[in-house]
Amino acid sequence: MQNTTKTTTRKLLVMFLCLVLTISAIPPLHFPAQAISEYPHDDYVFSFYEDWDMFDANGLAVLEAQMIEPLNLSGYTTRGEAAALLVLAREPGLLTSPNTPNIVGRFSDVRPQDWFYPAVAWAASRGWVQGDDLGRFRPNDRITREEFVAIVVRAVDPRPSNWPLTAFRDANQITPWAIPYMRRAVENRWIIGTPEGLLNPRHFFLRVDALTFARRFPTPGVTVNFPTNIRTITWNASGGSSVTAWQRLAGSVIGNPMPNPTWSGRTFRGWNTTDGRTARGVAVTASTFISSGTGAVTYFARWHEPYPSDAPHNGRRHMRQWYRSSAVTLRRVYFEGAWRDSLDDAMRNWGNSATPITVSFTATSNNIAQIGNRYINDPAVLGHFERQAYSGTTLNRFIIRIYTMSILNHAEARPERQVRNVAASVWAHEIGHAVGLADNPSGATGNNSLMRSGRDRNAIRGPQPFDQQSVNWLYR
Amino acid sequence: MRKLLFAIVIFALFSLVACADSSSTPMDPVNPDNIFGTEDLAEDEVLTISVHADEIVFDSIEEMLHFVEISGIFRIEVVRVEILDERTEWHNPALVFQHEEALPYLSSYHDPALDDLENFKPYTFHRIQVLEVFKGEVEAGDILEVTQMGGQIDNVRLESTSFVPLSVGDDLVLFLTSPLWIPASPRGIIGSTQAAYRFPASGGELMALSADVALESVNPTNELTLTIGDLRQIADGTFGR
Repeated sequence: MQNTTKTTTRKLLVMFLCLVLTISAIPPLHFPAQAISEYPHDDYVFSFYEDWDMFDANGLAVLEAQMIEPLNLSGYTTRGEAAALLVLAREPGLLTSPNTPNIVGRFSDVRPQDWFYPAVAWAASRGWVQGDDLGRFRPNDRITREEFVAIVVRAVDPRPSNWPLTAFRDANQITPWAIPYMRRAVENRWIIGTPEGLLNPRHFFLRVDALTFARRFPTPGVTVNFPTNIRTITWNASGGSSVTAWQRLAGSVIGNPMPNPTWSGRTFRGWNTTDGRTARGVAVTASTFISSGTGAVTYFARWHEPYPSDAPHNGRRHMRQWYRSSAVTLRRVYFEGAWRDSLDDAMRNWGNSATPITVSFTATSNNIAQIGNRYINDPAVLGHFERQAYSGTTLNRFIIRIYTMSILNHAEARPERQVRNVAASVWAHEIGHAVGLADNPSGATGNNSLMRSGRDRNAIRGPQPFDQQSVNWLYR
Repeated sequence: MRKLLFAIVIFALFSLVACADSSSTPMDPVNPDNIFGTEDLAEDEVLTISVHADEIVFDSIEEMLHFVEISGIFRIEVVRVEILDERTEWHNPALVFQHEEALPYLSSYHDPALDDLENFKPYTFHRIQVLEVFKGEVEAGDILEVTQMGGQIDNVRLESTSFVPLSVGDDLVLFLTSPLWIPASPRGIIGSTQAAYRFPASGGELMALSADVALESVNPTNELTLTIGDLRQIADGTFGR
């Protein structure tokens, strides 16, 4: 009975170990390229992204998609991982080939069931990697910089090099057998050294360093092989011509042309990760495409729509955002009396205009109306509009403020000016910004715009026909 | 019963700690999280606040000078300067009202409570060296600071439509303003669109140039004209007479 229990326990233990090994052998599919620089690494032998263009998108994609344990970028690269990385970069099809060379017995610590076996087998058969004097490959040992350099040089450019290493203060620390490889790597500028002039040849290689290094050597003829149907991409043309959803299949290559939709009167400006309404997103490139994760994803068309010919202002004087609703709400902060009267005037003038705009007070509004004494930095400023929060073209929160002392001074400068009128004009002007009207330069629209700084503030205290036309177009 | 008493004591202690924490921690006015809610931003996300000013457009240089002078609280300087360098800082210009020295200058209409509504924003500071003085108490060679609302600090960017673009090395004539009670206060540019002009590229001093030479406005929409002759008259006090 005791023996049976022991046997069962052993079986369970073995199964557990197998499970762990199996899981650890699954190459991750997601590698966010943007995250690389956020991880610490011990020095700067390899600067990031410097040679991004050296590689075609396919090469990058392979490296990034297949990197082992990608979330642990600050960890060290093992010799097994280095072999896998190298094979993936040079001949990625090999890892899925059924004709893996038989190297059983060549290294005492590499077995066919190891996840790195195909990589080590191919790398060894190509002469890129060698074992140590004891017949071991030491696949789980951390690889040093000079070891990594050696296998890459053997694989990519084994020509002898006499490039001097005297520029590096620690050149004398390079292991003698690694010197020729290091010369070649430096001559090819795969290694540029730290700002302090160090090669750190015996430092262990971080994963992130390995990735960066791998970007530095050419990967001709790399193609991408993915497991079948790992990702479905839907192209949302948002009103343009429909584009067939495109599935990435085994053997397909990222370099496939992305489908371009058409839309009458608009120009296609590329694909984006968002529709731009709630977040700007980023343009979809081949590398975004590959590194953006797994599962279904939708990319959105970006369109350029020429400003309509019937739009007022020739497209020059609208704000980039206008309030999300034609029913504008305001919360009045700490003022009553004459200054409130002037704001009431401005709100009434907007409400009575030939526009859908209404302005009302609510205690819960996020939009604030307040007064200040002066904008001390510039006495000629009578009011301010602050855009506080927005998304896309939608304004969600704003502040309007008028400066009472400057308004008093401005009104006093001409006998015909009434303080209440001037203040109402400034309030109405700032509300105009909230509903999408930008400033009109002096002289551009005559005197008949609320948004002109040079307007007669005593007379113009609400939206003029010119302004109303603009607002109506925005809230059409 | 003893347990209940213990629980009440613990609860009371927690309440006291909570109250003490909320009442004794003053809001840091320069912390952008307190002002703009930037704590919700992603690391690489930039919050862009835009500010539009409704500014007086003066009909003449004379009106501009007069407007500032009648306010009774502003110093005015008309100077030719070279822009030396720039930096960006959190700044709240309304703090100058809190100086005790300000009291004699403030009218009865000035409401101190309103100054508290202003807050810190990104401001760009330019150090300038005075080359020639046409109006004001400064001297050639003095180094002053001009500040304008706008600029980016960390992930808060403020765009102001009244920002006058100044570049290091620029040779400009500026109409500057600052509160009378603080001699070393950073200067503002009056009515940003009409108060910055490029000194003629031919250089030299004012007297070496023809009186009818007009200075190019930094702001192309500025309709005012400022000539070398105007500057001479400002300098000798005959302008506008």
